[in-house]
Amino acid sequence: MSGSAPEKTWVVVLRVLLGAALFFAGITKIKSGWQLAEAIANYNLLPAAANQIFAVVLPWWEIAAGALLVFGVWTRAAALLALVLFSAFTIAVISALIRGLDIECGCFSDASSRVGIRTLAVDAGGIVIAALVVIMNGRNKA
Amino acid sequence: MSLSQPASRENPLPISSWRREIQRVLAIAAAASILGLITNALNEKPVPLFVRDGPGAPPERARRMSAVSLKAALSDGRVILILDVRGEDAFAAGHPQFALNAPATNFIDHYAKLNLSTLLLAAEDIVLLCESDQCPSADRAAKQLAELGHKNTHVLQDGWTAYRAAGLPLDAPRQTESGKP
Repeated sequence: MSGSAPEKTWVVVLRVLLGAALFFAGITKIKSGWQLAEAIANYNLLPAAANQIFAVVLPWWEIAAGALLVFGVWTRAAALLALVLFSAFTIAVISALIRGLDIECGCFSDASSRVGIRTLAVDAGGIVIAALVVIMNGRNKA
Repeated sequence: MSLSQPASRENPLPISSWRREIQRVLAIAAAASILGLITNALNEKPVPLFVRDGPGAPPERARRMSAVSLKAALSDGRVILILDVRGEDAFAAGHPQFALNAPATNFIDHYAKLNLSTLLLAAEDIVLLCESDQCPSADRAAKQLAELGHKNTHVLQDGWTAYRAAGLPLDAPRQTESGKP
């Protein structure tokens, strides 16, 4: 595309970090579908069928968005997907905190990560970084 | 090109940048979803889909036992086995005296590893303990125990918080493999 400005270094770093984090999060969840379905069910937000579907597709959404961000392909779309994912995670975590639920966050396959302020901060950080990547990649295109 | 001009093959209407990106997002999500469904089907233990009572179903709330009742039962000499379903780090930081740690996420693995089938049969009551009362892990473990034939299970009302507040006996904190207390 003519006139595109090169991506700024700090945007590249953020994009790759965000992508790597998402990719890793997705990879760790692939083999623990049952645990992920239970972790999603523990939030008590969706019916069983939706929990089961998301347990199957969510890791691959993370892997796809992560890989595209790392390699800089369809960057803006991948960052938009990451933004949607982190926004959904944030809403779920806030809902759990308000209701006082004592549950695993389901962020990775590691079960020792409980829902708390740290989880919320990580998801909020994901929103900020994804939004920055979306905005900065939009500005680069003439 | 003006929007008032009709579209043609030579001058197609430009797709807005945002619409293109949203189409790409949907394409990514669709492709990834297909991959997810395929890998799930090929998985040794696939997640059952559209099953009401499967892994995606929220657990039913199990019977509760209050810390006061637990204290009374222990004083009466009842044989009670306390299963702490919190994570290993939380358990190592402090737990009920003589409690066994069986983290809820791999509960069945711990059930086998600790040979719980024999131990639980000897207990008059099984009390599952989590951090607080809002803990689906304990309810899920109770359901799994019921399916394995252990019907005398209870979840401690308000969990570890209530246990400590009731002044019930504790074991000393110990270090985990990671070196954390």
